[in-house]
Amino acid sequence: MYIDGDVLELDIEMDLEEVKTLQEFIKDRLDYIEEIVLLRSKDGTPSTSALFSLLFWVKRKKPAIKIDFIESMELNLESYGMMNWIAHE
Amino acid sequence: MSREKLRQIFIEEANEIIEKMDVDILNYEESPSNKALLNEIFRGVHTLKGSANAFNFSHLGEFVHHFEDVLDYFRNSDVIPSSTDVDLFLESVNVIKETLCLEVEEQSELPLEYAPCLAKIQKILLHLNDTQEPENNSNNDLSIEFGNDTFFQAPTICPTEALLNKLQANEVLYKIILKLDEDIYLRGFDHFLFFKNLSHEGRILTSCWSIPEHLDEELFDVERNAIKEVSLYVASEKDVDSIADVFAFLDEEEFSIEELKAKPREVLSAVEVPKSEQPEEKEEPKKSTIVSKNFLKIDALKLDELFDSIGELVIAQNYLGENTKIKAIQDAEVTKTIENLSKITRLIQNRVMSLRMIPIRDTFDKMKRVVRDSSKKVNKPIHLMLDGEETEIDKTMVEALSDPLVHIIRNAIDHGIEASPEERLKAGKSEEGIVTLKAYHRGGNIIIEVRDDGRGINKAKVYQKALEKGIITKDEELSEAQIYGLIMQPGFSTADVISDISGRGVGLDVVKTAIEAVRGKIDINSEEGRGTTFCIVLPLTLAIIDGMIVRSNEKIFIIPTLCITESFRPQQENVHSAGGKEEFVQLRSDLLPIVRLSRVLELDDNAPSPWESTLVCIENVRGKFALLVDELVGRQQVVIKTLGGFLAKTEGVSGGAVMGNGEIALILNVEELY
Repeated sequence: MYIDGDVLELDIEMDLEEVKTLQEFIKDRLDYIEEIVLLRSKDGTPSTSALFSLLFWVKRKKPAIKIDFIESMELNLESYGMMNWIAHE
Repeated sequence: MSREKLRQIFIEEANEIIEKMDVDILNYEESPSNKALLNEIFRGVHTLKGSANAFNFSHLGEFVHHFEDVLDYFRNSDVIPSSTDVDLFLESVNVIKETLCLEVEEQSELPLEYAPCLAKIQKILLHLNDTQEPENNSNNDLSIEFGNDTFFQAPTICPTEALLNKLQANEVLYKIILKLDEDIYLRGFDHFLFFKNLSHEGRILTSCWSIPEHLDEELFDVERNAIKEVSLYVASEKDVDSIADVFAFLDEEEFSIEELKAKPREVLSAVEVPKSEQPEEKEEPKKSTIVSKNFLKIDALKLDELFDSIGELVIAQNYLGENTKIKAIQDAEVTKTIENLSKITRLIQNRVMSLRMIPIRDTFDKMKRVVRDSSKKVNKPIHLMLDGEETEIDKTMVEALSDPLVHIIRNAIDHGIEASPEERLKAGKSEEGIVTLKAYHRGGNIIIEVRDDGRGINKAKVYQKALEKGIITKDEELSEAQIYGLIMQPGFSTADVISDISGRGVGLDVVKTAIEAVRGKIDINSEEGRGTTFCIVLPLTLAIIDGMIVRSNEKIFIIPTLCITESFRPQQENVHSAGGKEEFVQLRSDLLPIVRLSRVLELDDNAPSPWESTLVCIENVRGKFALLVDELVGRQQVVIKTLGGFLAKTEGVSGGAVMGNGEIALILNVEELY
């Protein structure tokens, strides 16, 4: 996790404990964050789906925030294929 | 029927649906309580979604899927879409159009507006998910309502067929649905734990995740799973039991595994079944208020061929009527039979012509969107009035008319209508600018008027601008119509400020060229302070023209009567000569140049006196002139024939026609005569 000005960079591989910490971190600084970027090392895959739930919650709290995969509703997870988000099926 | 043929049918139908959607959305905006209209829009999107997925137009399928959800919400609730919502609907139609084009061309990129527009739709859906109870989501009932449940067998974003195509030898496609409980993390599991284990059993191709729920809580509990459902598509050589082992520690209700196989027959049959054989749609009130007619789709090319054959029949019939040997037969029965044949031929000709005629309504309806968009862009309230939408026009003409109409309407809104409602009120007009589109028949032609009640054209300004741009010279005297005509010259624009939609000096000259290409013309009338009318005059059809037959040097020529204002034999004292070369004729207050047809076409050097000949007064873009011919033969409808590559570029000639006696007559291109 790294904050560069108003851009928060997150490691896609963070685990549930890290996500809990992230929530605490974001909740106090939401006003100052304009964009959240997911970073992924080569062959890196997500560890917990809680990270994505949290990012949707953030978007709900602050609709103006830019989170790329929520804008496009998809994210290429390479070895896990394309992750598509749908409203309801 | 081949899959490619079916694909073509889908593309054609998709285009029709999209065009109709545009118009329906605008009509719905005008009458938002009309649920039948909203259902009609929804029906179009729904059909598009199913077909798009069946033909692997995955981006289109994905987009319309979400768009459908938004529409579904509005049709099942009492909420009236706001103007912003309608903007989004129209924006979505644009994206759908562009996405379809790209996917037809098999290009992988997405339209620029795709992601932003989808995001806006998702934003609405996110809001709805939190505020809307499931009873308003009627997607489950759609197959019952529309009777095409075939299209719902595969999830929209993950079309099964596309995934099946990605399988390698010995691989099987599994669809796994995970419905993990809220306490899943506390139990030591995670969606991605199963992803990881599955990746050892095969290849994860794609996954569809439900947007997390209960996000409106102030402090969201990340330790409780909010993702209701995840569908995974896995390609694996393993059997279903090996895949099931991955989920051994889950409850039975938390997962399901299905082996997917291709179902091409079902998809094809859904497209192939003629409408009459489809399941009955019993709930008539839920369908559109628009009454569907009993139509038969025919390839336009086949109609053209039929039309050509009728042209040949007309020529053959004329030949019979004019043939001297047949005329010499003094037999009442023969004469009667030929007359009867003539009547039947004319009847068939009229009926076949009517096949190509379609009401101008669709073209007019499309202009509603143009008016709405332009009005918003320049921030002027505009009301569009339509008149004569039932007027029928040749289909080819409709296609040629669309772009010019868009240009003229945009021009009227941008330049014609006053800059602000205050300015209009000051001029004693309503706040809302009025643009009227009117179509009617007049003298064998179709007239389409675009009228605005704006400030009118400032003649002095136009004249001055034309002088500055060198389009006219200082000593040139121009009639009112000629001055207005200057605004259609290339590079001409009096706009002080270049706006987004017009004022670049391109547009009206393109309009003029496009209209002339279909043998039409444009007249402009304007009254300062009252408004401007663009009057487009079009022939009824492109294939047959009403022609004046003239003779010059023993040869027959045809002049389109649309361009002729009058014909006359001048008095000797009215004919003047300048420098012994240029000839002019005084016609009332006008002095018209005389153009000798025989000289233009280099037929003969013989120069009969104008007062012993006939002058045909013709109007083209440069003004009026008098065409000198030997005599007028008569007026006749002629079937236009192209001259072929060798003669196609003959100056002064635009085509040919076979006359009753079997001779070929050339049709004159009046634009090139003077």
